[in-house]
Amino acid sequence: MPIIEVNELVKNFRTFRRRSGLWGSFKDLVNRKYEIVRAVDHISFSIEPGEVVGYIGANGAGKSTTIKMLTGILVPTSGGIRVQGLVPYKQRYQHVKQIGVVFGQRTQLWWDIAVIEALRLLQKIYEIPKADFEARLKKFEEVLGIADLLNIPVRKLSLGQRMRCDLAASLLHNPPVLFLDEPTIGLDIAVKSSIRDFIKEINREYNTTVILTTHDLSDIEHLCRRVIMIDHGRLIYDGDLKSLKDRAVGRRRLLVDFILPIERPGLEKVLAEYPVEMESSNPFHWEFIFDRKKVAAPEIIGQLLSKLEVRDLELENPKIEDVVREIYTQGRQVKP
Amino acid sequence: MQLIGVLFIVSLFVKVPSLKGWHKEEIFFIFGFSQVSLGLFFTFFSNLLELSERYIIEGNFDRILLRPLNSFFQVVTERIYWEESSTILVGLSMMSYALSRMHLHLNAGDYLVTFGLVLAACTIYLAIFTILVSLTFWFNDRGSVVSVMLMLEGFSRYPVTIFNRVVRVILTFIIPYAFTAFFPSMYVLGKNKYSIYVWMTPAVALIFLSLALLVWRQGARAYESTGS
Repeated sequence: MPIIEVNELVKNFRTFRRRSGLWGSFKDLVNRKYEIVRAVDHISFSIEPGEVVGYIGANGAGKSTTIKMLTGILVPTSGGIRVQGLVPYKQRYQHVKQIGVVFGQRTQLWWDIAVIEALRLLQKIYEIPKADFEARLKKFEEVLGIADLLNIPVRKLSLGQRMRCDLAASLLHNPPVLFLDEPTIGLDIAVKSSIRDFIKEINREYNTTVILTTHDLSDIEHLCRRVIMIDHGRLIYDGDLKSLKDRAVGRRRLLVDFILPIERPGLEKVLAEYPVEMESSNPFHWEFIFDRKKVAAPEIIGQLLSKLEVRDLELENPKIEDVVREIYTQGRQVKP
Repeated sequence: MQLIGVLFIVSLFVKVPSLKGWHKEEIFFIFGFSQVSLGLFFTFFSNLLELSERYIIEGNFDRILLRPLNSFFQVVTERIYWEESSTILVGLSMMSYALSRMHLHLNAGDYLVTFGLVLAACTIYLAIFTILVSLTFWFNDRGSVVSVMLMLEGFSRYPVTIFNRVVRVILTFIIPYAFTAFFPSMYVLGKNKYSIYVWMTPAVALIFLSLALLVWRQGARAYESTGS
C-alpha cells in the first residue's frame, strides 16, 4: 500500500505580463494579459513506506512546485494526490500534522525567537506529549549537535546551524513522511555529511519515508536507492539510481579558462578530430562535454594545451543537467 | 501621524462651536472612539497589513500553510505592535475629556456596553482590512488598496450626517466605517434616533468578519507561492 500516490498531476501558473512605460501600465490596469505556464505536466508516481526517493531535475523543472503540492501549500490545477490517504490541500490540518517539511532556502522557524522557544511552540502546536518531546529533543541534541544553539535567536544562526535546527523542528512530531527541498544547498562538506547521516538514521530507525529534492547528485548517491527525474514539468525517469548512473557515467565535463579570448569557430578547428560538445558563458571560459567511452580526457587536454594558452582547467563529474540531456538523447524511458 | 489629526480637529473647533448641529464635545467623543478602536486594531491585528509584502511576496505564507492552525489566526497574531498603542491612549483621553465637558455620568453598565461596542468597532476594522489584503492573494498588489482604505478611514472620525447621501450610504452599508465610531458613539451621547444603529454594530461586525474569513479562505487557495 503506497504512502504517497500522485496521479496525472498538473499545475499551471498564470503569470501577468507587465507592459513597459506609463501608457503600458495604464493598459495593464484596463486589460491584463496573462500567460499560462505549465510547471508540472501530468506527473504520476507512487512511493512505498520507508523509501528514500530523490526527486531531481534542473532549475525550473518543477521540483519545488511538486513538493509544494504534496505538502498542501499549492492547490493542483488537475490530477490527484494522496499522502497517507489524505488529499493535502483539502485536509490540510490532518495532513500537515503527519508530515515534516524542510526548505533549504527558507527557515520554518520564527525569526525572532530562540530555537528552544520555537521548538516549545511547535510542541504546543503539534500537541506532542512532554515525555516524547524531551526524548526527541535529547536525541536531536546529540545527533545533530544543536545543544549549544538552543538559546540563540533563529536569525543569528549560520546557514548550517539553521538547517540542523530546521531538521530537528521538522521531526519533533515524528512524522511518517519527510519532505526535504534542497536540504544541503549552500552547506559545507562537514555539515552536509552530518545532515545526510541524520536523514539515514531517521529513515532506518523510524522507517520514515523521505522525499528529497536536490541539485547535488552526491546527496542522492548517499541517500537514495530510487530516483525520480523531471524536466520541463514532465517525468522523464523513475527507477533505481544505479541504472541512471550507468547511463550518465560516461559523461564528463571539462572546464577551461583561457588566457586569451577565443570564439567557437577557433575552438572547433582545434578540436575538430574529437567528439566534444562546447558551451560558454564568455570567450575566456569554455566547458567541454564529452563521452568517456569515445574520447579520453587527457587527449582533449593535451590538444588544448598544445594549441592554446590555458590559465586553468578542471574536470567535473556529470551534473544533473548532463544526465537529463543524456536521458533525452537515449530516448525516454519510464519505469525500467 | 495620528497626533496631527487630533491637532487639526482641536484647532478647527477653536473658532467653530458646532458642525452641522454637532457640538465640539460630541465630535471629540466620536473622534476619540475611532482612535481607540483603530488603535486596538493597529496594536493587535495590524500584522495583517504585512500580508502582501512579508507573507506573499517573500513567500512566508508557505510556512503558515505548513502548520496545523488556521492561517488567518497565524498571520494576525504573529506580531503585536505595542508602539501603536499610543493611539488608544490619545483616543481614551479625547473621550474622557468630552465626557467631562458634557457632564455625562456613565454607570458600570454603560462602560461595559461601550467597551463591547469598541471591540465590535475594532472587529469591523479587522474585517474591512482582511477583505482588502485578501485581494493580494489574487493580484500581486503591493498594498495600494490598503493605503487608499487607510485614507478613507478618515471618514470614520466624523458624524456621517455631515456628508452627502451617497457617501452616507457607502459608509453605512458598503464599507461600514460609520459603525467603527459614529453609530456606536450614539449610545453614550444618548441620541435615541440612532439606537437601532447602535445595536446593529455587533451584528455588522460579525457579518463582515464572517464574510472576511470566507474571502481569506478563497484567497489562500489561490496562493501561488514564489519560485524555488
